[in-house]
Amino acid sequence: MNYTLKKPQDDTKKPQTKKRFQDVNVSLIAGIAIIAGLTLLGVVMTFWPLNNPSLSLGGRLEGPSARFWLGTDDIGRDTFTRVAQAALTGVAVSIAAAAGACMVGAVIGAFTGYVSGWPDKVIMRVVDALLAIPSILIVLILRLVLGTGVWQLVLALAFLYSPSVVRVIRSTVLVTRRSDFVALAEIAGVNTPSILLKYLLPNSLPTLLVQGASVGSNAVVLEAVLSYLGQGIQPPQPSAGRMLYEYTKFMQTSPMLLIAPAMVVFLLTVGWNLTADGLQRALLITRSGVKK
Amino acid sequence: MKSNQLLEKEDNKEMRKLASGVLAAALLSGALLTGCSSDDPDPAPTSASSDATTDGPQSGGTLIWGSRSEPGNGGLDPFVAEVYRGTAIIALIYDTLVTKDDNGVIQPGIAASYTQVDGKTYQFTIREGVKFGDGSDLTVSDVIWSFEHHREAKGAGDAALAKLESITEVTPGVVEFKFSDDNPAFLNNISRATGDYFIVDQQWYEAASENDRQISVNGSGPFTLEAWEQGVELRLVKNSYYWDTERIHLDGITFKITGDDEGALLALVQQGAVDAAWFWGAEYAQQAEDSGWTRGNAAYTSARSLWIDPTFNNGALSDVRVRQAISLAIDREQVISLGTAGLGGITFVTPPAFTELAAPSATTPNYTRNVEQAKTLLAEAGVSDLEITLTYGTNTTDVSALEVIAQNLADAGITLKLNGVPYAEVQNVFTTGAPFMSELIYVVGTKAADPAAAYTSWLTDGGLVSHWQNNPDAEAAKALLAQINVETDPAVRIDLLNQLNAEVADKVLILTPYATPLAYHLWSSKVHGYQTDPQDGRVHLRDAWIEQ
Repeated sequence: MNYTLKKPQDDTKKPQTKKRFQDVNVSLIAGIAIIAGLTLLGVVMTFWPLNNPSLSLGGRLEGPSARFWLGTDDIGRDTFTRVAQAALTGVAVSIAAAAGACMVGAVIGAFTGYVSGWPDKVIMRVVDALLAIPSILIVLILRLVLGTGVWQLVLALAFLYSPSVVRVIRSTVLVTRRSDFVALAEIAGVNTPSILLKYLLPNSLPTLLVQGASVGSNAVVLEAVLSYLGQGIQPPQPSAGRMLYEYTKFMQTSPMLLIAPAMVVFLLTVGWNLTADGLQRALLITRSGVKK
Repeated sequence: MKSNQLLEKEDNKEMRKLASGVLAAALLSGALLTGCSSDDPDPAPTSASSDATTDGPQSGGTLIWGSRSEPGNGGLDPFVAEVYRGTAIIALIYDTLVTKDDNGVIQPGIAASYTQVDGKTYQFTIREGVKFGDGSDLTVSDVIWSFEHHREAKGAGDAALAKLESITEVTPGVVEFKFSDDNPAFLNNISRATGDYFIVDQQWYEAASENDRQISVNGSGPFTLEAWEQGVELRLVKNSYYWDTERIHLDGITFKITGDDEGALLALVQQGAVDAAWFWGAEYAQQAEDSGWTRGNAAYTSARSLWIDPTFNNGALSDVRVRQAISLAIDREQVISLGTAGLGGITFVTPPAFTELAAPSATTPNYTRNVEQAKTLLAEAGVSDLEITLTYGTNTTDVSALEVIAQNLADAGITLKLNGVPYAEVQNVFTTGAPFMSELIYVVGTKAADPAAAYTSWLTDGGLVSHWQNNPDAEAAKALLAQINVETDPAVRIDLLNQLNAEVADKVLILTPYATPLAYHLWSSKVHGYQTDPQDGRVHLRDAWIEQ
């Protein structure tokens, strides 16, 4: 009898391939790629623009051409360069607003979660009140107080989104503060600021990143809304929201003037949301050790 | 031509056949219509569509007018409604004592004739047989009461009657207005089609409740209200008691209200759901015109102005050379061609719709662009890297024009920052005299009843937006305005107004880069006998007719 030895099956290969694919955090990569791509495009078009976006170099409402890739607007400016710069403005404003909201919100959230008592009650009632007021109303009032300008806009957005960060970080700190390492630090006589900075906030960082990405997404939309209402980025600086407002009248004759800035808002929002989802997934993996 | 170009690109034979048929039919129709139009006994005034007439005006039919607005605060009450969207409807329902024709000449209205006895006295002979919409007679006492009530309602804000001493019936049918001082703007003020000096039935008005006056009417004008469904449509029907009823061809006018969305209005135009429409935005007007509609003559009733506060920010604009440099740096032709889709016009402070006044010309000081001269003036003034701010209401559709101006100024080394604020903040400046938020404020002007009124608030000491006290640059202009306010000879007054316009342009006391119509009027090929009027009052709807 002839016996043929079967080649042992490599039954680990396929599942490993599958596993590796599952390991890839597609959302995070796609989100970061979109934001990075738009940022790169905006940076290139800011420092090496195809055409000066502030000058009427072409005719009125020209179609796409070798010189003007997306044509020109109603006063003969290059649409492509302006849209690319608007994308960079959107990225910059959303990152700055998210960073500001996270910094302020994390400090207040960690403090109120750690100290408890009446400061916690007072701060959280204020936070609840701010969260109850429509965001557009708050930010419009802030714009009236602060005036117009990019930094004023960033400040207003950071203030607006801080309460949501406070609430999320506080809930994280409420759990972390019961940990043994915090108790040990307290027994060892570590002061409150050190406990906040060295133990509580670092443990809240993953949550903070997710919340920051979420704030970034909201900030993109709100910046566009404010600019649409004339309260955001001021002309002649390009802004997707303002373009959408000003070019609505060209919907039939030059739809690209509307499609291009709308795509910028869409891509930035999707980019931030995918990033937030990806971070959330990464956070779950880190905490539970289970890949989902 | 457009059809031919399209055919060249089209390979489809069937399409060629179809297009050839249409072309032949169009040529045949054109030949027939051309023949017919020569028989037209009474072509409508300056009509742009009279070429399509058949056997003269046809009576009957309802014209559907697409409009984004309807009467606002005050509704249809002729003494309360002040905003244009209200008075533009009221002007079709109520009559004024006298009217103004398209050349700016005063014409009879309810008054069959008038006499200016002297600068302080005017007499009007009231037309006989005039009736209100309910069939009651319009009497001399209605005329007197209408003006007296107007003065009571408006108080100190009554431009025409502020110095009124008496209104009396001096002889049967003749009303005399006596003023304590010369009142040269009186006829201009009371003749404005979209003003508020209407003749009202005293008995009806006093019997009606405050609410009823706003939703019902009883005027002596060509049309009367049939129904008003707010936010949907407002229907006018022919006033069968109108004193000049044979002039009116339409059975009625229905205003379709679309709200602020002019895109929706354009859709109605393109679907053929309306016969005429007016647009605020030049772009929409142009698109409607591209759909084959006729755009009315440009009645530039709205001067777009940049008001100057020379004392703002340590007086950056107090030096006349700096202001002249700014004016010289502005390329008005470019601002009009890019910022208004080419539909704007060059203007003084008084918009070109004041057809009785001279228009800006090549010799108007500081109006022809000269960047080098602007730079020289700035150097002489010792100013470098000038940065100024222009505040505008964010509801404006004119940001593109402002951006072009910013580009123009940049060529001369002047940085113009644009500062958008809610319109209410801008409005506060000229309604309450609130301080300027920047050196310049952008204001969309509307044509006043009297041209001198365009200057009053900012050139008169104590005026709401006056910032020219103790500034020698404004003295000559102020002296001219003072003369205009007492000059009773119309021809001399017009000459003085022309001088004032030139003086303001020379000293650049205000910047007026361009003017546009307040609204662009457009109509389909079915509408005839209509044309835009310089008051934007749609007064020629009285002459319009529609193909059945």
